[in-house]
Amino acid sequence: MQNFQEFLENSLQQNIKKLVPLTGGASADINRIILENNNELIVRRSLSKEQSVMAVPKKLEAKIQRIVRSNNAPVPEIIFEFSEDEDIGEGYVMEAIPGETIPRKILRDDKYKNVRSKLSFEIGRSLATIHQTKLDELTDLDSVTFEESLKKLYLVYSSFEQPQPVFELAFKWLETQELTKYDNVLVHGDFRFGNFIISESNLESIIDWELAHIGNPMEDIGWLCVRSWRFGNVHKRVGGLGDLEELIEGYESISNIKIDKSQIDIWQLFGSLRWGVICMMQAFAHLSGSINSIEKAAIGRRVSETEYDLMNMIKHNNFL
Amino acid sequence: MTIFDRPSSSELLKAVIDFIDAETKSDDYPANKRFKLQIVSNVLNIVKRELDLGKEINDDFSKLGADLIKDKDFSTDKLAEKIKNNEIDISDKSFIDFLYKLTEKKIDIDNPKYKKI
Repeated sequence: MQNFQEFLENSLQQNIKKLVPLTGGASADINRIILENNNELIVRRSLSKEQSVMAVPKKLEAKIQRIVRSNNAPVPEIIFEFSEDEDIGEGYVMEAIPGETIPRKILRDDKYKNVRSKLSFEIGRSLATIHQTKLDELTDLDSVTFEESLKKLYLVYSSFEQPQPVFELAFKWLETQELTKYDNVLVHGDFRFGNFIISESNLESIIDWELAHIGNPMEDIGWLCVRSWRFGNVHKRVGGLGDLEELIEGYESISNIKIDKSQIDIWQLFGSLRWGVICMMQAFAHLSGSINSIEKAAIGRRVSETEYDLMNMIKHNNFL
Repeated sequence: MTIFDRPSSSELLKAVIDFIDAETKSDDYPANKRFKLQIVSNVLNIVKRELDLGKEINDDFSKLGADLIKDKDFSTDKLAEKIKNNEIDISDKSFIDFLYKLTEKKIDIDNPKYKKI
């Protein structure tokens, strides 16, 4: 850490009081930088040995944030990027946006009472802004169709050799769905509470762009609606906070893309399946012996929650 | 039949869970460690529920499953394989009902609160 701190101090031309590690994305090492003058910054980096196949390179992540920010979407400002040796890795420093990301606090604490009532609309509007990003500047970003996503997810799932009847059914169900053809957009890829910085009055920032890609605009909305991040408020489809109608209203207030709710259902089901496979991935990281972690072991038994959600969607057509 | 004395394995687990839960609730327990210990308690609760109810659930489903796939050695692996190879009609009500029931039983062990919400 000492080397890294020296590197940052030299680059910033400022002394650092402390680097505080933050838990974050699956493939990023994230630290809060507390400067000598008490100002704060965030550094996100990947070390070469940790490069994930799913995540975009940090350099591209920074580029996306710059472009999205220039279109007035709420995203932290990039201060500088770096690409160094193995010890330092590749990454970027960005501004630290004050606010809260922990969903349970945003959903329950009194001080967020006022902002809660308008958040779904705001989130919808910001997502529409993101989806309006011009793609000609982002040609280095992968474009992924629904069929490709499904195929990729199936490959990951089957690599664990733990066949799940409900997942097999969900894959079959998804294969038969008719998808509306939307023009490709910039998809955030992990658009949900936890990646939103909220203040008492606003949606301040959308963070964690490592799963960004080019694809279908409904993917982000479906993912946001997955029951696993409603944190007990099951009947509020938008992250346990608001109704889908409010989100759509915000989205359509600035976008010409017409949202079809039946398409959201399909993408929500895909999202639950995707989260279920990610839970398996975490559990098998523990089981394979590569990481010994009680959190990862425990998450293996959350696969059944996603199966329960999938069955409610398939059998009862219940997306709440 | 068991040759072992009480407390039974389930009762021992209960004692451990109660101890952990009391620890995490006490004011002097460090807040930053509380979350991890709660996970430990959750995991032990899963183990206890499976120990208490798992055998009966597995026995029930091996019978129900054998009827469904017409194979006396039912396993979820076999069922998954049949779905994958289109050897089972996934629009069939009895199949969907079976899978729904099975999922409910898994949730009863893994996280019963999830079902109630």
